[in-house]
Amino acid sequence: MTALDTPAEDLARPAVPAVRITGARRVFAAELAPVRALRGVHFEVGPGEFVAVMGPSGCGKSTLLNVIAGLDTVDEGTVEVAGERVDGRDQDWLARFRRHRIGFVFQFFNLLDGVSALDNLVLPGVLGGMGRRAAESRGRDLLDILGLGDRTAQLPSSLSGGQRQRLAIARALVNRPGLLLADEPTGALDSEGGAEVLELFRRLHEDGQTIVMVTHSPEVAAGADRAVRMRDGRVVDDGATATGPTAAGSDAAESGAAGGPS
Amino acid sequence: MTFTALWLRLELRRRWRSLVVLALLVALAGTAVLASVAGARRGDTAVDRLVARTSPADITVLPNQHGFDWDRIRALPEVEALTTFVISSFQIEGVPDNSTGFAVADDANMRTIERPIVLQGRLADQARDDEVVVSAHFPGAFHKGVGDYLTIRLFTPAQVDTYVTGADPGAPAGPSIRARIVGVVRSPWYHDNVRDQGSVAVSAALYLNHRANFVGSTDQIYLNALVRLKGGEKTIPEFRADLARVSGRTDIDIWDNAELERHATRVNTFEGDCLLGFAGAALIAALFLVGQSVLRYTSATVADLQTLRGVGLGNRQALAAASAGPVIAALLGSLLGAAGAVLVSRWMPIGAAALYEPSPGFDVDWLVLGAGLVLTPLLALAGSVASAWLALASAQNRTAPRRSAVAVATARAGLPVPVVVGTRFALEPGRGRTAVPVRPALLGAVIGVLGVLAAFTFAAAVADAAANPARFGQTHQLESFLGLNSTDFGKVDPVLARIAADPAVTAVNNARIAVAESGDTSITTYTVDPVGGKPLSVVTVSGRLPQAADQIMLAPTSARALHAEVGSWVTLTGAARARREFTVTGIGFVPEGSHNDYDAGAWATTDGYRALFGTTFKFHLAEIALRPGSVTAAMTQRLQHEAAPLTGGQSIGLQQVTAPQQLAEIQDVQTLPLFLGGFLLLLAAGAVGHALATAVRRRRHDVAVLRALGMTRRQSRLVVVVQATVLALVGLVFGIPLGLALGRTLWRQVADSTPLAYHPPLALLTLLLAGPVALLLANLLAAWPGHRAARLHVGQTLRAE
Repeated sequence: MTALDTPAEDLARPAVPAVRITGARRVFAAELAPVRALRGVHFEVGPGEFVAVMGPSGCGKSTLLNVIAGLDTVDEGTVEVAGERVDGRDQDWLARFRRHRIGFVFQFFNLLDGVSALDNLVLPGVLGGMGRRAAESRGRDLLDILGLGDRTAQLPSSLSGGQRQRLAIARALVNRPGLLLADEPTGALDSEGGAEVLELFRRLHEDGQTIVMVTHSPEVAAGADRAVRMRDGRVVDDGATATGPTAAGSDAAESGAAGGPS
Repeated sequence: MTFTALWLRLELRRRWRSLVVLALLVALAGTAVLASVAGARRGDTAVDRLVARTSPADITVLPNQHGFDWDRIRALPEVEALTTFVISSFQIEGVPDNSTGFAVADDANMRTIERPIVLQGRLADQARDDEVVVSAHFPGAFHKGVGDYLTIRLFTPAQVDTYVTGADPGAPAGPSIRARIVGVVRSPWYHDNVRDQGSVAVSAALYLNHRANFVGSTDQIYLNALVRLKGGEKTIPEFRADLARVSGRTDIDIWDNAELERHATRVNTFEGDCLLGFAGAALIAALFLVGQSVLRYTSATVADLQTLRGVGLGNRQALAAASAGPVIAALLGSLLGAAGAVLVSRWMPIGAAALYEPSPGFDVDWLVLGAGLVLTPLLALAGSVASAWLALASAQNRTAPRRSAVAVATARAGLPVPVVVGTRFALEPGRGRTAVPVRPALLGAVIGVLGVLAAFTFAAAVADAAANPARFGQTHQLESFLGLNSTDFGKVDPVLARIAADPAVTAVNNARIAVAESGDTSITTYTVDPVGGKPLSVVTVSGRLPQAADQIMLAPTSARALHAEVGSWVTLTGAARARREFTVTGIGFVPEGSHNDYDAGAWATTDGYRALFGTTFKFHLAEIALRPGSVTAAMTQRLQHEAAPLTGGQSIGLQQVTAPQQLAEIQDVQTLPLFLGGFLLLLAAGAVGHALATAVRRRRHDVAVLRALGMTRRQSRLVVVVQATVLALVGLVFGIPLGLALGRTLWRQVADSTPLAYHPPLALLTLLLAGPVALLLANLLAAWPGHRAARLHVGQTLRAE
């Protein structure tokens, strides 16, 4: 079993959608007129699926990801992650839920600037209930696997963009979440860095990790099983990508994995 | 330059509110600093300026001899002016005896000597007995000022004769004079002491028109004199020699009034130092608070200017443009600050110095104000250029931020995440957009605890001194006046033996007192003569009491005047030119008397005293110490009752020992350190509060990331609580020992300069409460930033970042 392996308890779960959103609406107050970020979105992600959410700027992609993660709330509708309703929950419940069930990868990394690469992984591990040594061990394993084993003591600011994003992905995986959310994970990277990250996502997906990825780029989206297109706060298209391997997601669904690897 | 002017115009248009706030901050800080420094300078020179304007007496000459020929003294070549005053009393209705002053016996007073500053009204006509002047405290204490009337009641000549024998003359039965207050005055002789109620100065005509009511029918009352010397204080030895020559006496007590003025100056200097300390603290606070504002302003400006660097804006241009606004604000602020300082000068100088100030009211210290007007904009210029430079450099800085060993250790120790993160927030400054000035916060916390501890340690010392007259050498609670000018008022020995036999009496000293001379120094000498085997406890600074006829213990000020220490030999001249050499066996305090302070004088054995003065004495007193817990008033009655059969039913005079004037002076300055401590506490609260608020604002990204990773709201709040707690703990760890040391050092300085017996003060309650209170205060300060951290909207924050 590698550091990216799926824990046995997740494999034993009954098959439930990794994400199920029903009639989600979200309106933001703005100076001139309210911004309707989500206008009755219906959206479902199966266990082990790798879904790309695409669409132009302002179409509601990031808001969709945020409401799944519980970083934002819906005004109407329901949001379920691994069978748990996350809408209407208080912030602390959501925080605890995120620790174990959701990993989040941001476009601009959002790493803790003042602490080392390893400590960026240890902190969420400890938050997730691991002991210091266990978290360090897990962090080192992840850094090794993601090719950052020789960067443990370095500060994020001294890493390249691709390395930073790999570090952010490692952080997202520390607590073996069932669901990995990624908001434009290659948006701040050059083509080489973007390819690194995409390759990593593919490996994770092959190991059964459920991934929802927001992206502008059709090339990046092509790596996913399925591409969901949004426009003006609505899902306008939902189908398999032209080149995306759907088998992995289907296999995982059949095996009953609600959450993927970690 | 054109660009700077253009940029400044833009800045004034869009950010004028920030600049106005900055100017007001500078003005507030400028007022506090300039007013304090000017006040300290004014207080420091108050005595000298009063002396320069009032032709004060250099010495007070006290022969205490009726019929003394003052005309011969007046004619001595050293004497510039002389005025005599009468050692007998009169009463003023509604005014206690200690506020009635002495009656002057000639019209030289306030004319050729002690010409006071007139604070209000005018000087009294010395030819009119119905005109008086009062000192500055009098109107406030008695609600009678210029234009109001006082009723002076004189004793009959027969009553005065009774007074001479030491008996109570009863209420004055002589003439009454309705006198009008015509002025409020001040001179070194006619000044108020701290806590005095003020006094009345009657005209010479009162004595001259009613002489018999002052000297009695037997003319036994004597006159003493204030003398102004042509050569000032330094000609005292020549005057003393001539005085001895023309009077035939070498035991005449001469007070060096300059010594009193020097004491006043020492007190004023101490208060001035406290004020300067306040000014220093205010300056630090100003540098911190205004510096933060300037830093924020220039950082924001530099951020704006960064966009223009792409189109050719140079570093120097950026620095000039970023600094222009703060400098303009500082210029305006310094002008307002100077005006504020002039306004505040109305209440300066503070404390004892105010009692000597010859020109109370508004004052313009051009040197201080000028320095403020020049230095403030320069400081603002330096600060804004430096902060703009830092902001520019920070934008290009790629070095790793400083790590805290403590924060790293907390992480290594596996402590909970909020503790690790909170410690990091408290101790690591970060870099760039997340940078938070942690050092000012840490320094502020240390200074706050230090200031409070020092202030309360000092206050504890003052309270200890106030509760223990022994710190001033006064180990006795009662005094009995037994005789005057070599004549006892009755049979002394059996009375003292009976008093000493009382089980509540722990010590009785039978003190004969006379004044010896050594060079130009008068040494009021007391006998060490225990009664009933109950010796008086004498507070010694070093050494021991004398045990042989050729040994003596000197009080600290006398020892200093004679350049003597334990083991030195001193030569004293007593009555009838008797000269004796003594070895100094100790330095210690003496009882405070009418002719000496507790720190001036000497203790001699009865044999040693006799060798100097024979059987003569100026005063004969008994110092009586009571068992702790005794009620002094009740004991006075009991002892008088016990002594009555031995004195033919006549009650002996027993009076309670009053606290020395120096205690009141110290109590007067007690509030200054407390004020300073409170100010430093505010500074600490500001620094810590600012650090917490800034950390939450600038590090909201980190908090949001941690929240996204699963940190709860409670844990977010805990991060700020830990940050505040770490700051408080740093403050306590360094502030407590430093504060204790500073408080004790200050008190030692006061003890040395007062002087008084130094006992290391300990503010136990403050020490016990410092920790809990500091932690409570820090956590109260953390409440709002913690709430903000807990309410952070994670999604929006991360998106905005």
